Amino acid sequence: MNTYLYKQFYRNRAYITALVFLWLAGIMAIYTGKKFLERNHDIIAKSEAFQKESIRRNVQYHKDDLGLILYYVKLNLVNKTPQLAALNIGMRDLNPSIQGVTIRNLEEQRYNADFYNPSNAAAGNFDFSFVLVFLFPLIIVAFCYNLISEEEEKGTWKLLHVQSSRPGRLIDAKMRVRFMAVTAVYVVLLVIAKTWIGIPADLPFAVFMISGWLYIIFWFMLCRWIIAFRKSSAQNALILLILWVTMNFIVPMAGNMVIQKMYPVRESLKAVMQQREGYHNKWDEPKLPTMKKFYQAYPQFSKFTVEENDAFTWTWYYAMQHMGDMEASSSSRQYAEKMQKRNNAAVFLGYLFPNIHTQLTESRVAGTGMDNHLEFASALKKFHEKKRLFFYPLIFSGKNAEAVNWNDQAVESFEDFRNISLLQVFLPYLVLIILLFSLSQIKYRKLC
Amino acid sequence: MNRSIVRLIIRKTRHDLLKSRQNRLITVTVLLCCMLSTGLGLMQYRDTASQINGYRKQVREQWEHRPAKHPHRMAHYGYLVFRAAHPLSIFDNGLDDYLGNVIFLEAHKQNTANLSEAGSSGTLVRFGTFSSAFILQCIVPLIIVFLGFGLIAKEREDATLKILNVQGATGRQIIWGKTIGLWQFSLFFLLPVFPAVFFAAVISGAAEWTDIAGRLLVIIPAYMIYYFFISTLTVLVSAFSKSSSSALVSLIGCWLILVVFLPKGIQFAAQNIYPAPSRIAFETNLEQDILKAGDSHNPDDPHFKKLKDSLLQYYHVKKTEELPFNYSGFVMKEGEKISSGIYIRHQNELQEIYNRQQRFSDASALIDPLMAIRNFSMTAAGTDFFSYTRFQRQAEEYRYQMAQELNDLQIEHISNIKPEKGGPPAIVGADSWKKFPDFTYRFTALGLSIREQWLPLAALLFWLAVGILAIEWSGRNLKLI
Repeated sequence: MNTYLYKQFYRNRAYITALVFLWLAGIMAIYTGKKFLERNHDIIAKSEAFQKESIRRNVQYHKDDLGLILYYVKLNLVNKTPQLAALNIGMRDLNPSIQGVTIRNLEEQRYNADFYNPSNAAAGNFDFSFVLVFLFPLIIVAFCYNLISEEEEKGTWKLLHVQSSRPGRLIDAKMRVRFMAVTAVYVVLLVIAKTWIGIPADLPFAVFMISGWLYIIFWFMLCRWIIAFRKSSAQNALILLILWVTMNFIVPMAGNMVIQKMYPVRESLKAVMQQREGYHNKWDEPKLPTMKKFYQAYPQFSKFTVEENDAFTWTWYYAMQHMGDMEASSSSRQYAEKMQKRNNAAVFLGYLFPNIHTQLTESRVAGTGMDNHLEFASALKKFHEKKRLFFYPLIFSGKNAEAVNWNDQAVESFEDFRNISLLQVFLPYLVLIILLFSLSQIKYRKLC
Repeated sequence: MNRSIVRLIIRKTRHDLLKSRQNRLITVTVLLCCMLSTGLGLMQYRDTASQINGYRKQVREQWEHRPAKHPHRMAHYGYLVFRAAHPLSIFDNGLDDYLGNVIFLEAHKQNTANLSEAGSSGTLVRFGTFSSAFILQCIVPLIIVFLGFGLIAKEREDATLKILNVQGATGRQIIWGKTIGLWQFSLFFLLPVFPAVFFAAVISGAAEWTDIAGRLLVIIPAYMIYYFFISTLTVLVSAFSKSSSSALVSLIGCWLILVVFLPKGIQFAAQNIYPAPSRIAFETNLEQDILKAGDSHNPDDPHFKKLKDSLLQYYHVKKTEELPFNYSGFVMKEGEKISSGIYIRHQNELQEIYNRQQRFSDASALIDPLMAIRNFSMTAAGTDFFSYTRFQRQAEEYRYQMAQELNDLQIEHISNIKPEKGGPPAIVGADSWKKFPDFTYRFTALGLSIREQWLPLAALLFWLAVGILAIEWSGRNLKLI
């Protein structure tokens, strides 16, 4: 019986075309990811040379003035991109994977996004997660929408009834054939991606694979339930397509709009304004209060004193710069909190909608989501502080360029160790799958 | 052609579509969604606009209330300029989420616009923006397909097509009638949206009502053409399919290709054919070129050494301190001229890459009518990339003027001799800052936008012609049984 069903499925040219289409879309997506990853690696690899060159030039021009060298030199921090990011580019095309900062105030520099063409960004990436979330369900719907209704419309349903005591079994067997075919395409694509891009076989990759597969199962279960209502083929197709459009367009778009309204981010602009005032005002104010605040923040530098009627000194200059960050710090923290809240709201929405959940889970394990962005931002802050604290005493004590071993000032990188809660990832799928299975099971019992 | 028969079929088709309760429900739902997104959009727009206006005022006040200072300090204090979105972004958000709202302007350094909405949102923003334009561009075509897939196929299945023919209707008349009937019904989704958008945009108070009306008057016919093409496609696929169910499957396939697949594929191709440099590469190349041309911060730079020598010779003095004006201000002015020239050249090169990507996307409108309407709608709503580049250019002009005026102040009013310790500081009076005008962003005029990006409009007319020709051709080949 089963072999007959397999033959019936694979002899249908439309089904094969659909599978090939899906496979091609997947290959295209993997290629997009590979291109993205190559470009990203290229930028990071070049940055090493850029930084060296910039240090060399500035050291040459301002040999005797370490303060001036560090006014210009940008030190880079890399946000390590896992190979898995090729399958889910997420927000990595907007948020740069490498950021260079001088030891002047950070707030002025941290919002610099990478260059991108907004039209491309708005269209979004054609990555593997896109194919999985948007295109796989369509093929599943196309395979399943008429499994029962077609028999009824052809008039063979009664015949089936007579021959088999439980026609539900036959429908399940047909669905199994389709499920195996879609799973096969999915697995083949992942194997190709793994070998082509060289993704390590680790826990994040396993989570990525399983979450995608559960998403596929979810759609099969949804179809199983919808077709069990025994509406006409056209109606089934309409209902499933409406569900697809609602889940993939209406809900995330409306959700995003509500989230933006609920958590408006004004703090970013505020932080920019505050750091600007915080720093520039200090030029026109007495020097000692600035220094007092600076010594409070960093008592270890209180031995580098500044007199009120001193002319310009780097100690005072960098203290002023730091005031910019200090005065913007609360807005800056609030901004990060707002982004976190926006992300949390999206995660919550994901518990109800597997497509959003899949997108978020996969961007999380690939290090391309909002959480990674926020972690990188705080790592950048730490990096900036580390560099400042290293250079401050050298500058303040009037050392020249030779006091620094410039070879140590190489590009550094940050890796985000993602602890993945397996329960949080898989439970939402399992709940929905079991729910849909039970609902359709009730309907299936009534089939005969 | 007997017009009365066509008119009869049109009326019959339209009435049949209107009669169904389900169709009326769908129409109302779509309209409600459009109204809802317009309302939410208006709220969002007013919030952002008032926020940006507040910051603009604050920036201006703080600028005017700077104390007496050295002009170069002021040049580094800089200015923040903000981009206000066009009120029609309520209708078509376009690229707004991906464009930065603020640029920090300072001397001898060009910053980019930062802080886009997408930059502070998560992955959810990538699913798109819920705007009337999205509903009208992507969802309504799907509905048209659903309403129209059986228009001819079903009649053939029921053998009523033959009866129509016997009664004197030719294939051509049937197809024209069905298409126009479906198209007229599709206008119920479209036309009621615009009064609401018009009022919302006028209420926002950010643009003249004549400007808004003018833009809407080009947007409406554009969507009408787009729907005409979609209606034609639906009826023709219905006419040439074996059964209504296969017509539906083919039409859903067409929708997927036109709405989901091609737009992404086209952007992907544009990005790969014309790759753009990364920020870090761009900045490094820029720095290198500026150093080659002359670095005003480098004391041994040959260009500035030559300049110094010629000045000393002209004024018959030995040292720059003896010059009758502030020498370092003069150097800075020259440096600004050189560096912004180079910057603009680099910026133009980058811009050219983006322009090529844009032209590729515009040209793709000849393959995908969705690209035509999407790009045209954005252009007309003032939320497209071209309008944004105009903002960037205005900001850069303003920055250059600011830097050079401050350099002039330094040249004229700052002493050439460094102030002694404890002596009077080298500063200019605070009233100088007030004289410098505020930045006002001017929206890009519609005429200019369309003249610069005429391809999407041409593509729409092309699709109109394709629709008409396809109907004419297929009318003669319609199989009745």
